[in-house]
This record gives sequence, C-alpha cells and structure tokens, in this order.
Amino acid sequence: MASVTDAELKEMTQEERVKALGMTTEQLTGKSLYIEFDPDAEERFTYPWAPDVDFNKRTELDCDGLTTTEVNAKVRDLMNEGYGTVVLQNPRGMHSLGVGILNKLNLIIEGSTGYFAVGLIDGPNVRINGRVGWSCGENMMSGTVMIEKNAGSTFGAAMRGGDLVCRGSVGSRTGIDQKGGTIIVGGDTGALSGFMMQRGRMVVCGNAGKNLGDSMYDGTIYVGGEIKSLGVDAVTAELTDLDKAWLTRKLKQYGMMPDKGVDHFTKVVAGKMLWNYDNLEPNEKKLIL
Amino acid sequence: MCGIAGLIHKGKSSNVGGEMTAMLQALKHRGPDSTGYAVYGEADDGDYIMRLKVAEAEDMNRGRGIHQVLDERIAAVEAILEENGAKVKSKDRVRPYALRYVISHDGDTGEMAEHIEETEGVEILSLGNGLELIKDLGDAADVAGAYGLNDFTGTHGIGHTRMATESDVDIKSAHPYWAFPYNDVSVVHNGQITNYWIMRREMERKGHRFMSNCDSELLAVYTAHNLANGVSLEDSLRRSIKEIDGVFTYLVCTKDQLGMAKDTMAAKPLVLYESDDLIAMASEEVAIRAILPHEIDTTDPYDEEVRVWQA
Amino acid sequence: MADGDMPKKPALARDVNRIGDSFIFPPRVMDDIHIKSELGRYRMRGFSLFKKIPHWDDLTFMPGTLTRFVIEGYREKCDTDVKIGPRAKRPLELDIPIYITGMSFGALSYEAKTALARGATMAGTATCSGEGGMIPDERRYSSKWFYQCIQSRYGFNPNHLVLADGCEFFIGQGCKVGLGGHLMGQKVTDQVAEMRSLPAGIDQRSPARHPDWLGPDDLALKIQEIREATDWQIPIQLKLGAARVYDDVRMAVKCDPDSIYIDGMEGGTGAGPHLATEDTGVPGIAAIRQARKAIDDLGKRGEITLIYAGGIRNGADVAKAIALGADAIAIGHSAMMALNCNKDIPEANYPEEIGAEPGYCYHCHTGRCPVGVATQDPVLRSRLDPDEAAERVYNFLHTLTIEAQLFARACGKTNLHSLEPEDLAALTMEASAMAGVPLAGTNHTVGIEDYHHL
Repeated sequence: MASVTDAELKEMTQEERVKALGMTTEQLTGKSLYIEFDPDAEERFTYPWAPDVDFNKRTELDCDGLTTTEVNAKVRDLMNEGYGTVVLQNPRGMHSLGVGILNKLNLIIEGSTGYFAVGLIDGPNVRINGRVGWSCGENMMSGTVMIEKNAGSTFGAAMRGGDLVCRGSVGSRTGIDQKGGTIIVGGDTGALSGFMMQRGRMVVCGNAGKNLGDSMYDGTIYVGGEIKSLGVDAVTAELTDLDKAWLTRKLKQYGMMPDKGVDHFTKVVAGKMLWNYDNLEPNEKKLIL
Repeated sequence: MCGIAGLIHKGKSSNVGGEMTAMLQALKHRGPDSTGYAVYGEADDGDYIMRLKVAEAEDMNRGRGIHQVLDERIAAVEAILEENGAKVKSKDRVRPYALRYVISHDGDTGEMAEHIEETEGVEILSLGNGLELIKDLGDAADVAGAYGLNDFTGTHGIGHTRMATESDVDIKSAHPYWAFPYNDVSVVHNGQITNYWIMRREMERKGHRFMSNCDSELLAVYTAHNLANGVSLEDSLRRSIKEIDGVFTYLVCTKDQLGMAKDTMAAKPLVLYESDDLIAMASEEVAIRAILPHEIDTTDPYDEEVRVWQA
Repeated sequence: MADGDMPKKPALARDVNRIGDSFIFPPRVMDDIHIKSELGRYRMRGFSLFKKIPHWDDLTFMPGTLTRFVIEGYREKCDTDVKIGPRAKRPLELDIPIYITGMSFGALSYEAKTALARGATMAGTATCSGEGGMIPDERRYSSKWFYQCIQSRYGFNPNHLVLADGCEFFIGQGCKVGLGGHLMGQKVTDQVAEMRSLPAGIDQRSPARHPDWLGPDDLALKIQEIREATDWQIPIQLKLGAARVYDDVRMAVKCDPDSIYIDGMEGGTGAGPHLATEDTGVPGIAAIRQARKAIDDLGKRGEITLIYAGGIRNGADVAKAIALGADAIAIGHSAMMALNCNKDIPEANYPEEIGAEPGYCYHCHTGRCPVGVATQDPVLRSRLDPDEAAERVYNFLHTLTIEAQLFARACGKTNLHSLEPEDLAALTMEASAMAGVPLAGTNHTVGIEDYHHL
C-alpha cells in the first residue's frame, strides 16, 4: 500500500476510506488497487512473507527422486535460509516447478520442465536450460524468465508483467489473455497467438500461425516472419520509430537481435471494432464477423 | 480426456513393451481409469495374432455361473475358428476374460472376425500379423504385469491412459481401438469429437460396427474405412482434420507405420522427439523423459499438422 | 321487474368472432422478433430465467408425526456448521451451510461487495471475490474468503491468492452454461477497467475457456499448480454449470479438488444473452442428485464437499437442497435482494430511471441500478448504505439458517446435514423424475423403481 497504511484506514470513517482507496468516482486514475502490487515500486519485495535473499549465496538441488512438492518446498526453505541463487538439476519434465515464488531469486533450471513451469511468480529471474511444457510463466507478475530451447502451447497465458523469453519456437496460443509484460519468441509461434490479448507486447522473430491476435482488446504484436492469417479484429499498423527503438533495445538485451535489424517486423494491433459489439449498428456488425 | 504416447524404432526391434509401460506410467495422472497398448511385434506373414475378450472385467463379480458362461463363449469362438478353416497354433488365457490366439488362416479374416463377434459378449480387440492390442482397467504397471508386456519386443507401438468423459469405465470403452476388421491398424486419441453421432450414423450406414459409445472408436472405424477404400494413411489423417469436428490429437499405427494428426484448434497437447533411429511422442514431456533421461530436444506439433513415420 | 321488462344484457367483454390466440406466437414473442430484427443481435439482460421449470416448490417435506421423534423447534440443538474441503490443511469452516457466492466488483458496486462481506462475516460464513480481482476492503471485511480463478483471469494476482482461504476455479455458471461472463461497457469504468487491464468503456465479454488448461487432464495439473503456489493449505473448489452433471462431476472428482460447486439453471447473472439464461442447463433438483451420486460412486463422500447454488430463496429451498445431497449452499441473487435489489426505496424512481416497476427490474446489465447495488455510478451507489445493508445481509443469512433448521428439526434431525432425499416427496411427476423422490402419497418414483439403492 503506497499511499495509505492499514492503520490509517482503520481510523477512517467509511466515507474517508472509500475516498482514500480511490473508489468514489468514475473519474479516478483507477490505479488505487494496483499500487499495492506495482512491480516497479520500490517496496516490491516488502511483503511480510518475503525473505531477504543474497544473490551471491548459491546452491544446487538435485530433483532426481523428489516430488514437485518436495522441490518447491525445498526452494522455499532455501530462500528462507537466505540463498539467492538456486540451481535445480535433473528436472526431467516435472510439472509446476518453481510456481508461486513471490520474491527475488535467481532460479536456474538445468533441463526441461513440464506444465506450468514458474507460473504465478512475482519477482524471480529464471533461466531454464531446456524446453518447457504448456503454460510456462502463466500469470507471472514481474521478473524475467529465459528459456533456452522450445516451449509448449499457451506460453505466458494471462501474463501480467515482466519479460518471458523463449529462444526457440513455441506452441499454439502464445500470450493468450496477455495482460501486460513482454513475451519474446526467437522462433515460430502456432495458431491463435495473442488470442484476446489485453495489454503488453509480444515479439515473434519467426513466423506466426493462423488467427494471430484473434479478438485482441489491446496490446501490440510484432512478427518478424510471415503471418499465416490475422484473427478477427486484428489489424496491421505502421511500425514507428518508437517501435523500432523498443524492439532494438529489447532484442539486444536478450541477445536475440536478427542480423537484418528490426525494419522488417510487422506490427499487429487491435482493430477495436469489437470493443462495443453490443452497441454496433447491424450493418456495421456484418462487416466484422 | 487422456494421456497418449507412441514410439517407433527405425529399422530395428527393441523392448517396445517395457518402453511403453514406462511412458504410460508417467502419464498415469492424466487417466486413472484404464490403460491400453497397441504394440507391433515382428510379423510372420502366415500367422495371425488375435486378442479378444469374452466379458467385461466387472462381469467377473456376477456370481459363480460366469465361469461356465465364459467357457461356453470360448468354445463357441473356437468352433467358429475351425469352421472358417483357421488352425489354432497357440492359445493363451491371460485373464479369465482375455485370450490370445495365434492362428494360421488363408481366407478372409474380416468375415471370420464378424462371425466371431456374433457370439454374445465377445469382442475382438485386435487381429493382425504384428499387432497385439491389450487394454484393461488399472494403471500401466498393473496391465503390463498381468499381460506380461514388460519384455515384449517389437518395432513400434502406441498407448493410452484414459479418464472417462461421457462413456463408461470399462474395457470396451478403453483405448486403443483396432480398426475392425482391417488387419494391423490401431488408434489412440486424446480429445473429444463433437459430431460423433452424425459421423457414427454415416459409418453405420456404410456397414461398420461400433462396440462402444466412446468417440475414439469412431477414429478407428473412420481410418479403417478410408484405408479399405485405398486412401493412404497420410491422406486419411489429413481428411479427418476437415471432416471431424471437435478437439483431438490422435495416433494411428499400421503394420509398419506410425502417424499423428492434430486438429485445427490445437487444444490437445503432444510433445514430439525425433532422432535418426527413434521417434517418440506423448501428451507430456515427462513420458518421453521416462525412456530418454538424457538431454534431448523436443517440439510441439502445430495445428493441422499431420506426420507419418515408417518403421 | 314488475312491469315485465327484461333487464338489458351487458355486452360481452370479448370478441366472440375471434377464432383464438396463438400459444406459440403471443404478443410478447412478436415484440421480441420485431426488436431483434431492428437490433441485429441477441438481447442482453440481467436476472435469472423467466420461464417455469420444475423446482423447489414442487417438493415437500415429510416431517415426523407419530413414527418419528421430532426435535423441539426453537430450543433443542440442531447443528449447522460445515467444513468445505475437509482434506485440506486449512479447511474452510463455516458456521452456517450458506455462503455468498462470487459476484464481481464491476457487476456489483464497492458498497454492495463490502456489505456482503460484512454481513457474511457477522453470520460466520464466507464470501467469494468473483471475477475481476480482489478489492482489498472486501478481503479485510471477510473472515473467510474464496478467491476466484476465472477463465478471463481479470485481475488475478498470486499475491492475492496467498491471502485466500479457498480458491475457486470458475468453469461454468448455471445461468449460461458454456458461456463466458459479460460486463457491458456502461459498467466498465476507469477503475474496473484498470483492475482488469482493459480499456475503459468497452463491452467486456470474457472467454468461456481457461487460457492455460484446455481439458480436464490439464486441469488436474492446474489444480496441482495452485496447490503448490498456496503450499497445499487451502481447499480448491471447482464451480460447474449444471448440464451433463453426472459425467462432469465424475471428471471433476478425478481431477481431485477439495470441493465441487454445482450451479443450477435457476442461477442469476448480471448480464447475459436472454436466450442463454432461458435455454441452457438443468434445474437444481436434478443436478444435485446426479452430482451427489457421482461423488458417492467414486467413493469420495465426506472427502469432496458438494456445494449447490441457483434459485435459493428461503430456508425451505436450503433444506431441500441439503436433503437432496448438497453439503452447503451458495446464494447470489437472493443476497442481492437482501441488499435492496428490486425494492421500492424512497430515493429511487424505478419507472423513470429504469423503465420498470420495482419487482420487475432485470436491468443489472445497464449499470443503472436504482438501488446502487449493480452499478458503478457514484450517485446511484450513494443510495446504498453499506452499514444497514450489511445488517440486512446478516439478518437474511440468519433467517435462512433458522428456517432450514425448522425443517430439519421437524424431520427429527439434530444436524441439518442429516436430511436425506427420503425426507422429501414430490408434488409433480416432473419433480419426482428429476429429483428421484417418490410422488406424494405413493411409493412410486417416476422413471425409477428404487432410488434408495442406486
């Protein structure tokens, strides 16, 4: 809570409280509920349950013979002991590895994981030296995740912040319901990528499958290769200098800058025709669906 | 709603039974109801292997009289075999209701199969030169143990762990399905077919029989129908993507081929590993890792993707 | 009539030459066609279904008389507490078997959400966040709180998840089974939009499928993921719309949740296509029985809790639902009525503001709720006093409980959960067949010889 504390709230009358929390009018900035968990804010790691870890304290953990629950519990214990760099060996396609980490941490996974790798995270920097299964980085709030090989479908589903990077190709429905943050794919992506995308950016250096950006509300998709087809209400837009500068910065940051630069990228945004579908005139509707 | 797995060795035989068991056991959480295998041994062209069941597993609880009923059914089956000029070379009663015959036969096996299934309670699980189809309730370790699959040698196979959706938990609704009466073809499937009844009635009008209400059986019948009409496996897979509605990923085996198809929605998972001598695929990477623990590169096939590999 | 004149006959109030009226096309149906052919789309509305279906009124209790020892109605003990997800490390323990179901902030106003939370806390029961994320005050006011993981994942935040006492996977709702949520642009204010990461003022039509799992096989893994993220502490609940109930619940049980929530077709909505509310799903009396059977058949009775919601109006409905097999009841629409929904309050002028009389308002989707419940407009919201509203919610929850106890005691039970289907009789053939209880005065259950041993 950035502006008001719990103690202050308790002292207030109902009316004051409503006002302090920014719930009185429709003309608000609307950020009041967001501030608590703003990934950019300084107090990002100040939740009472977040242990203070030291990145220089490093340890390794062999997953062989352990269950997912044991591994995740062990990682939590290590964080409580102050370890800031944890290396997981031999994951062998385990599911739900490293989920729900709400803390800063360097997590390195030496091998491939199954479904829901590092889902529901807020803060850690993760490197996976292998392939990930479905729904990697699902609902992540902040932090960075680097995948060295390929990724499965629904990569970064409902993601809200941070950077999710895959050097290889990903499956279908990449960034479905994406609500923020950045997804970067070095290779190709499958069908229905960016489906119902809401915010944030997605960069695909290779080709995109059919129905790209289907019924997206907002957000931006950049595709380096060919687009098989655009989905309902997705349109191409002009690649501006700002876009190019952002792409260059991001791709250089992760060492994924294509040799031919970024000028060839296609930018896809929402056509916004479906925004008020239920208020459209009948003849307008025929044009879009 | 299931886990599927398949593998094919190129140009050599291996312990396919043990490998499939390891893969399916890793997928147990995707389908706790039943487990099934279709594995392909080395074919001896003169001989046929026939796997059949003469009752459901749960029928065994129906009193002492059931054993006599089963014996009568087996006698009836053997009489039909003899009538059709088939010579029984070996007979193995794996479970009270599950049998394996090796027969030599030079007539029309399709017609004979139809005769055999006229016996009440009898369902042929598979018939072919190389195919052995085994399915039963329980997980992979149970089924493999009971049917002695752990040291089965062959070139390729597919398998399935099942979580029942809208059909029952029994052997007749378990996968894989044999493409009755088309020799050596079997199918496993993960997903659901939403124009099932339309397609089923069309197939029934063309003279095909259905043993269960499980939508996956349709894929087996559909494939058999296409193959019988001279369509190649690859074309049949491609055609199915257009003609069958719903979400599905399925694998088909013939005597020397393994094929896969993924629907237009790409909603059912499959992870694929390809090397020069082994191709393995499964719903989850964890299954492939069960037989290949070292570091490998795997990919997700995309929507409408169709692949066929030769043994 | 002494002079012999015949009295003059009044004219008939009807046109005797008219052959008849159409049952298939009454004036309302014609109006509907006229409007839709202008509009070019389905018609949206709030509320639950309008047509008659077999429901709670078609069942009756068979209390004790001489054959049974009845429990004294107002004094003697009749337990009502219930544990949701008894296998979880921290099960949700409710004092009464009725809690407030998930309704989103966005569909409901801030005042309505917090009043529900406070009323439920006073009654010793739970609330649920609904779609669109957590509002901190609701969490503060709720002593027991479900966090909903809905298809759209609007505002879903792992930091909020760890604050929850239970996590509910929204998979479908009874009112419009197989469809996603709707929130019309009028209600998507800056604040609501920001919470949901959407542009303000758009018609928000949520997806009908979860983004990160596409089948029940994947759901089993997703449940595991949420359990990992919450350290296996809290119960995981699956909320299903009632349709193919037996098969759906059987699959849900195999995904191994702690609790299963079935929403009957009587359930309400803040906004949805009119036809979807009318023509999807099955009634609660049929759904509960099938869901109970599926859980029992798989041997999970007592391990997986069954919760029912949809069309619960009074304590008799609660008791009947529990008798048919539910462990707990969730209410939405009737709790909103406790807040004032459709009440003629002095501040409101229904006909002018909404074009409907109090008692006939189904206009939640317009965001112009005259009583400040289903709106984001500051003027309308000020018509709801959260303190008084919280009190009313508490009173209503309390009343539901004592009413339900009344039937349990009359049937000789010292625990509300001892009610059985055999305590009920059906008043219609339809209800008998659906609920699997005998027709009153007979031993005959329509369609079934003996439900006791099924």
